[in-house]
Amino acid sequence: MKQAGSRQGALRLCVFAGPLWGTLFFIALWPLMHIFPPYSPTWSAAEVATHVRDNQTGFLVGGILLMTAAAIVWPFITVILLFLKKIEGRLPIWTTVTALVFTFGQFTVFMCGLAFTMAAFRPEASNEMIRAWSDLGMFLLVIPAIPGTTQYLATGAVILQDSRAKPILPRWYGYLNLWVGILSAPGAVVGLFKVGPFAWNGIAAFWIPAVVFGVWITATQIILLGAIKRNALADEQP
Amino acid sequence: MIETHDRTETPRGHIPGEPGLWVLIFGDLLVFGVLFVTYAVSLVNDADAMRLSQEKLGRGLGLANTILLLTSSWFIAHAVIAARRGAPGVRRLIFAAIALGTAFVAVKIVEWGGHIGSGDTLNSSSFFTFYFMYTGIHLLHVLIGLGVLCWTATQCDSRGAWTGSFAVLEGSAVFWHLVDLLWVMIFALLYLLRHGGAA
Repeated sequence: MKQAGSRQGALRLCVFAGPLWGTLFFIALWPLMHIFPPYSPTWSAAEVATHVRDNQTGFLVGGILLMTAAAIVWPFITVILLFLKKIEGRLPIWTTVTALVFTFGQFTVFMCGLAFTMAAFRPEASNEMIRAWSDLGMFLLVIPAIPGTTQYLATGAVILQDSRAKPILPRWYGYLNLWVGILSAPGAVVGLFKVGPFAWNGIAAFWIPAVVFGVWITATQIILLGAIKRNALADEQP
Repeated sequence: MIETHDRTETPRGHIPGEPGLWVLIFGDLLVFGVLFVTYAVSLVNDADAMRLSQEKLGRGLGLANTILLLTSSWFIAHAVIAARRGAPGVRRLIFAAIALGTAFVAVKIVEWGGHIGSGDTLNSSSFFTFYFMYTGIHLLHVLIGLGVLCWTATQCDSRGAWTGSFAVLEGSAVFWHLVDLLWVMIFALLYLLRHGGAA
């Protein structure tokens, strides 16, 4: 039991990689790159290039933070996966799906940091070149909604199939994942629009997924810390 | 699964389905609320252009779809009642709900095909962006709902009586009613409500 106690401490520590990830992400986008909220997709090449040149250091440091965020988030993701595997038991199909899609999703975060780095690396480059890289960064910021949908639905499916009398993770959190999954899907269409609610700075494609994601990452920390406190990984219900 | 409910009587303060499900239901309603307000603001600010496109919508197909979904919901509600009584024929009612839901999808495809054929696509005007995206997000809900209903249909015995967890059937029905409710809102806002500008 003493052993279990010290493992709980390690698990708790891992969970804090989640908020750390979120903090780095937010610092990069907001005070450093000034792209929270995102610039309009209708901006001319000159406007985007001016924005990037004016904030060159911010973009470069922000790029580092985004790539670092993608590198340090893994302990947090691992704790989620440990609980999902605990629920699924011997044949962790949807846990594996979740793990693979998580990996894919963080790859886009890493590439996002790299694209913004490319945009700011040579300020003497042409306006069109700078805008192309910056646009790629914006797409990589919002387009992970596509793999994200699969990941949330898979996580929800695992949690809701838990038939224990006292579930390992709360069932409302399973439904929350389905909700986040369904509402992330509209983020997939940002390539089609430059104005309106479904453009990358619009209500439906940016603000709703951003708020919903904020709810998800907050709820995830709360339920993980709760499950660690109950020592749910050592739960022996059939 | 442990049967916690009395089949004949609903306990006082009973939450349909299970409490956690309502996170999804209210969460979805909240977000659709935001989407509807976004649309309404656009309808007021851009009244003339919106009305021009809006007049191309066939209210007949919209109404047909409303009736299809409402009837489908009626069948699933009766499936819940039948299951509560332990009666046979639950599966038949679920199949009827699925058939009507599938008909909704078919009508939607015909309707979309018509608009796309006459040159009104996702990107051709502000109204058609709203129209295709909102009905598209709703259609995603319909498809998920149909999947859930098919899954519940497998949980009946050979007489068609309900054998699964009662909360599962009730929860599935609640989700199907949500799909219905959202459609009624979309029908009212996109097909019926027209902003007269100065009015």
